[in-house]
Amino acid sequence: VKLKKAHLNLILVAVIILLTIIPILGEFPMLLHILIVIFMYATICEGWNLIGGYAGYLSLGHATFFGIGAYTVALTLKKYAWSPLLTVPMGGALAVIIAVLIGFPSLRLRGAYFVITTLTVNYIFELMVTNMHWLTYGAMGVFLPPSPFDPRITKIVYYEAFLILMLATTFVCHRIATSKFGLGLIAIHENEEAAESIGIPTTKYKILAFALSSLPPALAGGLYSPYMTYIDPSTVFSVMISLNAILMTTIGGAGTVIGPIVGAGLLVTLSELMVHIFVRELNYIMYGVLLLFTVMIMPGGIMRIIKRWKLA
Amino acid sequence: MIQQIINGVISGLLLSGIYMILTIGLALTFGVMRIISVCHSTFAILSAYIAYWLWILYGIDPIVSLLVSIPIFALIGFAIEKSIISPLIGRREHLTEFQITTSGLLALFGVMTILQGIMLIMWTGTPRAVLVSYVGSITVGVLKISIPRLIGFVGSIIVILLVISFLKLSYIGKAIIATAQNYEAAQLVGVNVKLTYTITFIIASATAAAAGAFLTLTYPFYPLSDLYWIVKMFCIIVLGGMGSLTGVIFGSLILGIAEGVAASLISSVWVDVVALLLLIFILLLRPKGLLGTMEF
Repeated sequence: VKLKKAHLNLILVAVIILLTIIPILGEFPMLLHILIVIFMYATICEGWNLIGGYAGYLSLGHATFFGIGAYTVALTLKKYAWSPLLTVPMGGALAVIIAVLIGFPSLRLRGAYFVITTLTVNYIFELMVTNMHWLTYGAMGVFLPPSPFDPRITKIVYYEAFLILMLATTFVCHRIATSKFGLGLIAIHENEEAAESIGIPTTKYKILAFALSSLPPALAGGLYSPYMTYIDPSTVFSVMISLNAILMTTIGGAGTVIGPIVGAGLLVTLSELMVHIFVRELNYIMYGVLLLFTVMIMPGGIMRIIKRWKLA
Repeated sequence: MIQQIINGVISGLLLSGIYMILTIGLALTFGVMRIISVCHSTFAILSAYIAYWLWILYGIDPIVSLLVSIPIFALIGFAIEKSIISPLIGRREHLTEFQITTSGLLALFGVMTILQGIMLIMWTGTPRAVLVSYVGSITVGVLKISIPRLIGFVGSIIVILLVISFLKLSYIGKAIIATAQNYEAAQLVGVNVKLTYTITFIIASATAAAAGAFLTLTYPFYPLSDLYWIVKMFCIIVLGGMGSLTGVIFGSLILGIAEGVAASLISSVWVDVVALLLLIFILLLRPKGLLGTMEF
């Protein structure tokens, strides 16, 4: 079946409307929570995809930005009672500044240095936040005051906020992917030397891509901490967040706009099923097998398969 | 003060032995095959669990358990190289070097998470430790040297010397070095590059097995502690220059001694931060590492 572009747009609008009105249709607290987790991971993955998918520079440290966003909101809320509406963008701005500072030394070099540095930086941040008790309450974590509204309303508010964040991120990423900048990133991925020789400012593009890619995880982290009302360094700076972003994006389709959402939806759903049917630890094995399968058998992920099938 | 510094240097020196044996396989696989073997520290932790099992079930010393774990890991290395890495590198003609590095990294990530899951199911997340019979320390004047650490250090040095002399003296070792320097030229002079890749990965896995056994002498471990060690190992290969074996030795010494001194002067909670900031400075000042790249 060959779908026309107009039909695709219609389906897209229908899905978005359906997702928006789900909370009004009835009370599904569990479903809402799972969808929130999916939206959160899809946002992080869209961010990671800019540097890891399009430019081909795997960042192992996107949890850093998630943690920065989460802690900015949590600490200002706890100490000065600032509204998350103000502090979520603040956390995003802080993450971008830090991304530029990390990107400058590590992205000047071609190749594997960046991969290694990002993992290390993530670890530095986790340690610093754990050890600076006077600022961050240390390893005990931060308990936030519960929202003043009714719990059901609160959940719906956060649901819609995460949905809007994911849709906005996806839209921006779609615009970037089709811009000159996005094509430049793809050229860097294909062959960096050739890209440089036709006049693409590779270092500038890479640092810009990394800075932009740090924004969505920071915003997601900013929404996460008032939603959960408790954060600690080992959760929000966890390497598992970065690894999940890599897994989901790769399995869904790195370097495509929809891939991260597909991957996040698939893996979060599967892991929820695993936890309820078997033991939590089986998740690790399932993730590993899926990742190996993707890299070995279908590089390009689910989206590439769908695209090929649509053309045929 | 001086005494503290000297004790810090000694304990850092002993720590650097563990770092060397952990990192040498990572540097070797990166130097020769251009693959970042993220599952390398996971192998070490798995080997630590094998040593733990042999110790708790049969009372076998971790050093003796090497006789079992080295052949096991050589086999695991062989299987992983043949089934995962070799097909990926086989696509070499269509991909740039960096694309091979990243797809190899992703595949080995898969291996890492599978092994972590297996370890979590078999041994749960509780930290474990092996209590060897010779725990204690020697006191020389003002210096205190812990015996298990000293044994781990000496053992690591012996294994590293064995690996280096194998690379320098045997025909296969020379072929491995030639492949690392220029794989096309090595192919031209008749080196079987595929075979050298397999042997490299087997050697690297065997050193990871040794590292795991030496690790049990001094450190507790749990299934996800490989993430802690891999950060340190990444620091060392950047400090020394990616893929350089002499770099591994220098990088481990610098990191170990810096951590030892920082632990005795400041507080042990800030040790890791000091070490990692060192890495950022090196990256800013000497981006290609202290020794440059590709030296054997």
